Amino acid sequence: MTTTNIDISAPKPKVNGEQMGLFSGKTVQLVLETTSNSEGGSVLKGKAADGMEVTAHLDQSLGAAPRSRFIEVEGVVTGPQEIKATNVASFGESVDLFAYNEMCKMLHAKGREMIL
Amino acid sequence: MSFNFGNDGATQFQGGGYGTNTGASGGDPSSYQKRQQEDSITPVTIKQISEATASSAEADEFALLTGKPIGLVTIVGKIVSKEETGAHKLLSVDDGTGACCCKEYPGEETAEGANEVTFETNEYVRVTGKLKSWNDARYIQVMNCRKITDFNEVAFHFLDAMYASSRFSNEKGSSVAAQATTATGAAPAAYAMPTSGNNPDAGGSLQEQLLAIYNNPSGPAAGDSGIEISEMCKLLGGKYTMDAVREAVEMLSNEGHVYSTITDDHHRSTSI
Repeated sequence: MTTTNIDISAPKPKVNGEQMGLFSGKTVQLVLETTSNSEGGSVLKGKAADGMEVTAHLDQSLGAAPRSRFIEVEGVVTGPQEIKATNVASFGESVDLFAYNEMCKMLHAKGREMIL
Repeated sequence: MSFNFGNDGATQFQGGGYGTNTGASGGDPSSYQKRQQEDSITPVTIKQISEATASSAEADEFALLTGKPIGLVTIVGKIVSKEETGAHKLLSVDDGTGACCCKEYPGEETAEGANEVTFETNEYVRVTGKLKSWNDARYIQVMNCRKITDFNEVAFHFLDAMYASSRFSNEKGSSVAAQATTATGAAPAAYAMPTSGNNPDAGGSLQEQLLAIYNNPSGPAAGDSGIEISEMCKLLGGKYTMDAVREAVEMLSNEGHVYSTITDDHHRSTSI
């Protein structure tokens, strides 16, 4: 059911690999450039916007991860460089990770009040 | 289930949007300004529109926390749910800062089935529309909704939203400064001294006091040759030694605030 209101109770900030550490146990959105998609598609490895290697554990209910080069993983940060994905979506074949990383850094500095 | 929206942005934005100058000539400037605010599209996050203050509940007028009035807004996010009723279509869009309901009343083109685009959940879209409220619930009345195919647009949107927010804050800051100078009868430049005379007792560091005198367009330093350092010492009431003043002036010169004129001891502001 689509509700006619704005809900900001559960933010999912966009982060790079380094910023994941600040959101341990919280839900975040992370763009990964996939490097491997193994174990029947339940484990996804890739590089975050700042180049950090991150492992995403996908729930079986999510089905197969998109096959695109870049993937946006939404999930709970479970440890350093590890995330338990609750949602995955294609993020295209050509993304400027430098710009995305700069955007993440700025959002969590001067743009913090706009997102959290 | 498929879900359709009209996707003919070019025609939907006719008569509004960026760079519309209708009404600039001969019209009431305040109404032109108001119209410009209504026509301009502000890139925002959903958290920003959630925190926006309602300046007029009846007319659906809102202002962001920075004070910027918002007419049309544009957001970029993922579709989390969709629903179609007889009268309108509802999309819930989440941009990571929150989720917002977007409501579209089908126009003629969508009713005829032309230019229809199918949206699926978990897909990135850009939604442009008017922020509305009904029964204390806010939603966006969609004017245009389109899929995002180049995902650099996601980073672009958030950078754009930050830029728009800081630009308005800066504009507000400089307009306040300009008003202050106009009110006291001095030059309208934001950095000009807010009084018409020299006021070395105004406080601040030696450099600030020097700059105030140099930048005063009707003061003793405004002539073509500027002012000599010894003269400046006198204007400062003899509170500083000649060497201290010379050192401060050299620093201002190195930073580009003043330049030497007829001799090495004469300096003039670069700002007047």
